[in-house]
Amino acid sequence: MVKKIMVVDDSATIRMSLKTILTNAGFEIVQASDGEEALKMLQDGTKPDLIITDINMPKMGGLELIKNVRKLPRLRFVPILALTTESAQEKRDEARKNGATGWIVKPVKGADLLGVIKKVLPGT
Amino acid sequence: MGNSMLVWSMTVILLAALGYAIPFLGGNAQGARSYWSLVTAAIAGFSSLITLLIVYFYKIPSGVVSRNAKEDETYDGIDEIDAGERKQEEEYCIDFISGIPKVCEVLVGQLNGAITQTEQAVMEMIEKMQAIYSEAERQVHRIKDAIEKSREVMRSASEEIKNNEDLASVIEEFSSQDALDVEESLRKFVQLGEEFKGIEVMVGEIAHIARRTKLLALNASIEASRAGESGRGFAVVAEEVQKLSVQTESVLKSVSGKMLGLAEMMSEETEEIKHIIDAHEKDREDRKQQGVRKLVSSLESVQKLFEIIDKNYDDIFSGIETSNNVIFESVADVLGEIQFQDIVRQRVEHVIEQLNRLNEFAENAIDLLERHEVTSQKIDDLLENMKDGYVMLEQHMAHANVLSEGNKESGTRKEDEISGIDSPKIELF
Repeated sequence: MVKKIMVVDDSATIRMSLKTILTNAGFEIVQASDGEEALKMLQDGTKPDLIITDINMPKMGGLELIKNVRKLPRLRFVPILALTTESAQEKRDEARKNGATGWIVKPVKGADLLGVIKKVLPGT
Repeated sequence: MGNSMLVWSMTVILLAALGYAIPFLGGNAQGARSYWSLVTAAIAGFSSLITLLIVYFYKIPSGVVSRNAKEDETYDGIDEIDAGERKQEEEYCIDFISGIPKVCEVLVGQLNGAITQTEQAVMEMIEKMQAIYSEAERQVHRIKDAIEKSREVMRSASEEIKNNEDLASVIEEFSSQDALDVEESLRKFVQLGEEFKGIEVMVGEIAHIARRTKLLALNASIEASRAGESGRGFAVVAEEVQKLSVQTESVLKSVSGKMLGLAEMMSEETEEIKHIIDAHEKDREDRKQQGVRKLVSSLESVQKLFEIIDKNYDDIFSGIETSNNVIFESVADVLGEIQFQDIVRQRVEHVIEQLNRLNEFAENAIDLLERHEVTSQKIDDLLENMKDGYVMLEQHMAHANVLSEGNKESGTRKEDEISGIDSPKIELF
């Protein structure tokens, strides 16, 4: 069965490049341009197998999104990867505390990203 | 502090902005270098012009200065300037600095334009990369389809070969049966010849009976003569029987001779045919076996050839898969590298934010100049506040490197104080 990945980023180029990489690798992609939009989609029933989110975004940032996603019972164990330019260790620690599965600093090579996805989504 | 301090502060701010922009350009933003270099050149030129003007009009020597001679006794040239001229210069300076927000606005517009332009270019690049990948993938599918069809043909041909091999066996079997049938026919032919010889015996026996009948007929005619007139009819029959016997013997002799000749000929012919058939059969068998062997051998060769082709197809498949994976990984890597646009965008947006703050600073400075007042705002505060908006390691490092350049004597490495500098780029919790 095709795995579904939600990409959350305010940058259209990041969303487009990730969509291209991940679609070519055989995943189904759903997109949101900020944390608020993503949370609404998730609350409305979208159930991805993995969430990849930026951290610094307008309306609702990635840290808050992670915290809110973990409050939704059916998404409690869905892996969440932060993909961000943010380098502050405090933010990384906060993401871990909020329930993130991993932290990736941009730019990341496609092969490296797919390698991480393979680890958090066994069988892909 | 007097107004001159504010003017000098403005100069330092602009130079700091220049110092900020230049290392930024030397970072990861190679793809957008041409845009940024234009903007930086404008900032640099603009800053230099302001500095020259201030130095020219205020004749400021090196070091921090004040126009107030009472506050700073090291500067004594100011008293020589005529008050009227100074007023004119002040007005010019205020007017000039008043133009800074407009210039900054143009620069912000340029930077925003550059962001939009790079974003569009990157989107097009992504689309083209995707088109390349999709085309490569389609090509692979086309090749795979062609090979699959070729394999299908080979499988069909292979099946035919298998059938032909079976047919060869059938031919071989049929030939053996044919030989058996010929042998059976010959055997019957020889038997017929033997039966002809049997007829010869029978003819001999009939001839013997005819001779005895003739003798009996002779005796009967003698006896009929003795019987006189009463035996005359019997004598006629005896005579006729005798004639018949003679004729029978004659015909039998003729038939027997012909039968014997025929049997002899049949025997000879049978032998001859047997020889010919044996010879022909052997030759034909040899040729047939040779032909069948050749056919089987050819079919086996074709079969082997098919196996080689099949193996080659496997190699082609494997090569195509490898190439496709290389294309896929390369495209994925390029798409990963394209994230530089987002990085540049964020850094430029931060520069725009700082230019806007510089605007506010300039407007505030003009206001103070006009009112001949002093301010508590310091350039260090502006620099310190810049750090609040940094998200990237590179931004922190560029900032730290510029400041450490200015504080070499302190011997401290600012990079060591940057949060997350030693953290891995990829970390799974």
